[in-house]
Amino acid sequence: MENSVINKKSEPASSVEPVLQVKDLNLAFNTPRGQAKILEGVNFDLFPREILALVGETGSGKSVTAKSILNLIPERSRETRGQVLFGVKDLLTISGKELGTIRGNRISMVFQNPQSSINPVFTLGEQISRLIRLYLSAKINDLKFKTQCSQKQAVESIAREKLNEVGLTDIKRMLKLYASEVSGGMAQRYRIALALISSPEILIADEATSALDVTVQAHILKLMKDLCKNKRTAILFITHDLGIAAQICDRVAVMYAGRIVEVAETKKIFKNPLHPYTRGLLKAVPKLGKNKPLSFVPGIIPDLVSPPRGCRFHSRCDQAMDICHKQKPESLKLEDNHNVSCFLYKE
Amino acid sequence: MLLFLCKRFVGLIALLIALSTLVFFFTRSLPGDAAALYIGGNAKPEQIERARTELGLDKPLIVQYKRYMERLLHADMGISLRTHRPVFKDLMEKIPMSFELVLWALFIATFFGVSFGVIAAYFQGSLIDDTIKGFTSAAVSIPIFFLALLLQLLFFNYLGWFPLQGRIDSFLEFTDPLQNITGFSMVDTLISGNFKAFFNVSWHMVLPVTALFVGPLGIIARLTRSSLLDVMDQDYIMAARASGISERVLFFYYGLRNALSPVLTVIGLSVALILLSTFYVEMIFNWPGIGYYSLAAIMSLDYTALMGVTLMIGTVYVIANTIMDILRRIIDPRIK
Repeated sequence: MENSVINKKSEPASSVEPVLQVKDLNLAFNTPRGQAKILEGVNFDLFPREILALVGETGSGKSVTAKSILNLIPERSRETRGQVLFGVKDLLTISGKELGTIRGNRISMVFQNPQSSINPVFTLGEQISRLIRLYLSAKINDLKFKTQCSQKQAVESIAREKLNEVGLTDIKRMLKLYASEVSGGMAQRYRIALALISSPEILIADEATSALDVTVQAHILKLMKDLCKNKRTAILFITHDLGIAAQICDRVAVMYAGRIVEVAETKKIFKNPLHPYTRGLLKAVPKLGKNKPLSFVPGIIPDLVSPPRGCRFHSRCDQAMDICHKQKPESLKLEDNHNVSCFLYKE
Repeated sequence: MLLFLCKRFVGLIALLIALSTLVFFFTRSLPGDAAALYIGGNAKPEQIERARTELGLDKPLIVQYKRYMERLLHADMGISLRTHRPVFKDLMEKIPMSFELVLWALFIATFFGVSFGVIAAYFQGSLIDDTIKGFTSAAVSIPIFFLALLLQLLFFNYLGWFPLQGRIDSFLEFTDPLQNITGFSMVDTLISGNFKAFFNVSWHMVLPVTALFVGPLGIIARLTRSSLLDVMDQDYIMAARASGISERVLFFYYGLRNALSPVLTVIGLSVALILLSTFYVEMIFNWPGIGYYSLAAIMSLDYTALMGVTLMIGTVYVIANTIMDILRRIIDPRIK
């Protein structure tokens, strides 16, 4: 569609090929009131080993974008257009069988609510063993050969090693527990261990720390960052928390009402936000010590069944011009790989 | 687990005691003079009085209750006012005949109910799903006595495939009579090598069993389907899908086990439904089981027999539900 040029050649290293390219992703749900256009031309690249934050308000389409990458949204009552390129493969069109070889193996995902994303009627041990048998059969055989142990022992010792990596202790006991018997922090560490078993090229973290309390959150963030550095995994980090994005991410993509409105390096976007929405978001972050009333972006996310014409943000924008009501802004590539979709920066 | 079993067992005993107490006081509040019924028509007042003393009905209610409970411990439910035989003996004769129908119906309803539910959920939205949905909603809505009559009309009257009623053809009762070993006619005929009677008895059971299983099958199938579809929408299924587990494992292993817990509860409830239905079905198919026996007991105000039947059915129901609870506990560790 109109903005296919977004960060084609982005840093960190402009010569490096992206591992994942989302191109002009459109997604609409058929609702009784009409089609809700949830995503409208989402474009971004994810480069090897980088951490890219996808930030935005609730309802901006972050999670839908993440789930669309692995084609996890049920097919009934949805329409999708666009491409999700992983290497040369378009994940939206390849067969279910082929997708099965990528899901969990080369692209993993961690979800928002750790306890509800673990099957409640199987032990943690059962669930991790299945994935170990699925992805590490070579390692199991290796271990069986070296230590002359049984298949079960080999799987268990790998499980112990993997759970140790994410900082879990007392694993022998833990393997016999169920999801309802562990804390949120433990459950999320466990989920991260599961996601990293296959040493994936990409980890998608969909609000992975939002349901945890702040101290646990900090641990998990550090853990993810370290592990991915070691395993050379790129992370797509979806969050509504700008603070977290600033802490661990290399680049930030800001999403609003189904579109990415600004992409830049973390430092640049925090120092010099260009899009009026990004500015509003940054102003709305509460600061300690300053006794000022909290700022916010006025208005709410528009109804996506009948989205506003032109720029989807114009009704909440304090710098809206005539053209904003009529035309959709294209993504403009400015210096330092700073991309923004706003008419303010069009010459 | 052991603790859980012990707790369930203690609960079971308490329930049975409560049940027998309720049954005792309910039947005693029924109108009618039991002693007069026992002795029969045209009895002299002193004969009735003698019967009253003999049955212990002249004592205060609380003493009678104590005696009743003591006797129950020895499997003694008193003498039937109608047949003048020990109620326990009567029941032991009738129960197997009904249970033969009940167990078959329960087995078929469970097996096919769960299978149809799983198939419908797996092919959600397809023609198969619609067919199963149509069939099961009809199965749930049709009244059992009406269904039984329809079956007789179609399979006996028009097609002539199955016998109208009874347990066995009357001429076979003379040529190859049933031997009473366990009371289950199919088992007895097999044990005694009486194959002619075996096929005849099986043949007679088809229609009553069909009338019994159709409703519960519909209920179980519909619940299995909706429970599975609900589970397949859960976060943990999506998370497992995202971690590359195949759709088949997701559905038949991870999904099904989660979905079965409510299904087991309904299977337990189906036991009650089927037991209740045997009352009509035995009437319509002239099947000499517990339903037939209780109806006769009700008509003649045979309160000892009624107490026996109620207690027995209650016991079966409570035990069935305890078994289902234990099974649920096994497949779902969250149940405490």
